[in-house]
Amino acid sequence: MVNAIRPSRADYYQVLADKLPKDALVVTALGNASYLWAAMHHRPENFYFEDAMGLALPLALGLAIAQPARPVVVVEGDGAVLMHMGALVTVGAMAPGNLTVLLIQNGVHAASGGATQAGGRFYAPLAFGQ
Amino acid sequence: MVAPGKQSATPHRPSEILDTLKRLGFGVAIAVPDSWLGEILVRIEQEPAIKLVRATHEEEALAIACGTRLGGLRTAMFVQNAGLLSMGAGMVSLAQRYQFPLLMLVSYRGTIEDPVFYHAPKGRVTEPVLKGIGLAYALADRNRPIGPQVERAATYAEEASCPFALLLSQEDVQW
Repeated sequence: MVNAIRPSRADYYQVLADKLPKDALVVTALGNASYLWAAMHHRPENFYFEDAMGLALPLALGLAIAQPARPVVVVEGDGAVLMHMGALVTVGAMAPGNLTVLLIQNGVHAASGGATQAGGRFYAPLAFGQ
Repeated sequence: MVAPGKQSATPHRPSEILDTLKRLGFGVAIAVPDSWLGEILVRIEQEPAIKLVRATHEEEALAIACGTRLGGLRTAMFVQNAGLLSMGAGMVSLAQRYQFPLLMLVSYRGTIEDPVFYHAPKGRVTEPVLKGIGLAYALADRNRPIGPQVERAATYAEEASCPFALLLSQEDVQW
């Protein structure tokens, strides 16, 4: 059951799992994103990053370009996005209508000890070319 | 001298590269340009059979290329050798880890054929770095047709299930 007051990562994932189209392709970033999604909704079509921090979003962009008839969902962390913010601009330029980015904005590098990371609260305008 | 109305005896090597990619069914090219690559990318952009994706950084380009290949498109990359130097982590932990067959067409700056003082440091270290990160590569031979060399590089990438970099001179790739 979803906790409406303070939803956890697992709550968001449960909604995603419940709403996910059957033909969707899911890409998850390294660390918690991959571990939890694999535990909650493993499917052969999932692509789990184990490493290569910051590259889940651009890989998902490529997948969305190559498979325009299938929904592509990428679960990425805010710390990872900071490593390749240019990818947001490329997403905005290519504008694939089948790509959904689920960005976990917790302000920390959660998988590596919880160190806080600077900035990174205003990602969406980059991807929309604003 | 070439007679009026006849083709030059020397084939236009960038055209051969583009024709080879089309013949082999490459559906997408992911690129970060340098001055040698600028015009061939414009030509690719005009090709209906090949989609061009312009990335902002070579490691990002590599990840996009892995995604298009994962999605079933035969994928080429166009980058400068500086980009090979800056994509090392993604090369080993993504492209090689998951065995993505990618054709990488690389403008090779800073060699004895391109003695520009600010390119020279890259030229000096490129091949040792490629060997260090285990990236398969070859130098294009300027005395042989470029099309078959591109095809062999693409075949190597597919057969070995790994990225393969073909290092190109200015004559090979600048339109």
